[in-house]
Amino acid sequence: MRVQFALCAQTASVDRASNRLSIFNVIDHFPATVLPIVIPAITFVAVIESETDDNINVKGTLEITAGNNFLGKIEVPISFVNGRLARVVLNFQGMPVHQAGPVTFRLSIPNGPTAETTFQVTNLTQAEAIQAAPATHPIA
Amino acid sequence: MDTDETTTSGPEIGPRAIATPSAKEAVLVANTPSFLLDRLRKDIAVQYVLDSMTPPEIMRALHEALLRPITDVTELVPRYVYLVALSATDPYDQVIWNQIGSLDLSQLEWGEAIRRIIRAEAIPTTTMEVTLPSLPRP
Repeated sequence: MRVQFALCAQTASVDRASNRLSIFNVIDHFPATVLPIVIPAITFVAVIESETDDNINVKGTLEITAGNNFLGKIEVPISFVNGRLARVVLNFQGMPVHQAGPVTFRLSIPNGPTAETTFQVTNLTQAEAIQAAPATHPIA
Repeated sequence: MDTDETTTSGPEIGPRAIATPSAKEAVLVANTPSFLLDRLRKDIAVQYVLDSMTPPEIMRALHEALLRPITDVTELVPRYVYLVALSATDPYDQVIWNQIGSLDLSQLEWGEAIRRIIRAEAIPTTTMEVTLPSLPRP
């Protein structure tokens, strides 16, 4: 078993007719003008590949951390039905983040791989303050 | 199954009703199986079948259609429409997928190729809505 990809996005949808997955607004970082903040909509997407064509049901565990804060742990059933791929699409309705830093989603599969993705929450106010600060070394 | 040749108005689920002009055009102009699949998926005929019939009903209709010999090229259209409609079957519905796998599609030039594509695209998806508890301030 291996992870094809794992990422966070604003939304994702599976087309009813074609069963194709679409991912919208991938989150590579989250700029926050104020902290703490609640990220209103966030979707974790992972595609897992199996080496066999067998029907396999596994129970994965998703852990979410924001910096040093543990945000939650969720059991995720994953099914490979007569095929080699399985998708996981988890929609979070509001994710509280108290400080700037990495937000990590880690989906562990027993006796299998771990699908992990991280994005940074940046504090824009702090970043602007750093940029506006005078240089510490005098210019000759 | 309505096969009344005189039916001219109103939506009917039957080979004549779903052989719409656009579905006929798709079958006649398609140059690859994936083109035909994509065109028919968006076609009103497939949408109508999906809205009006359950997967077992579509399966039965296709199975019965495939037992009949083809006397005219337009008779291919409903067979392709039913087959493409079956692509929307829930990937977890193993009964229907096994029946799709055992269909004799030798009448349809691109039947086998379309079957392979739709089986490959039937990827099961675990979808969950999660609400996290709000944290106390650190």
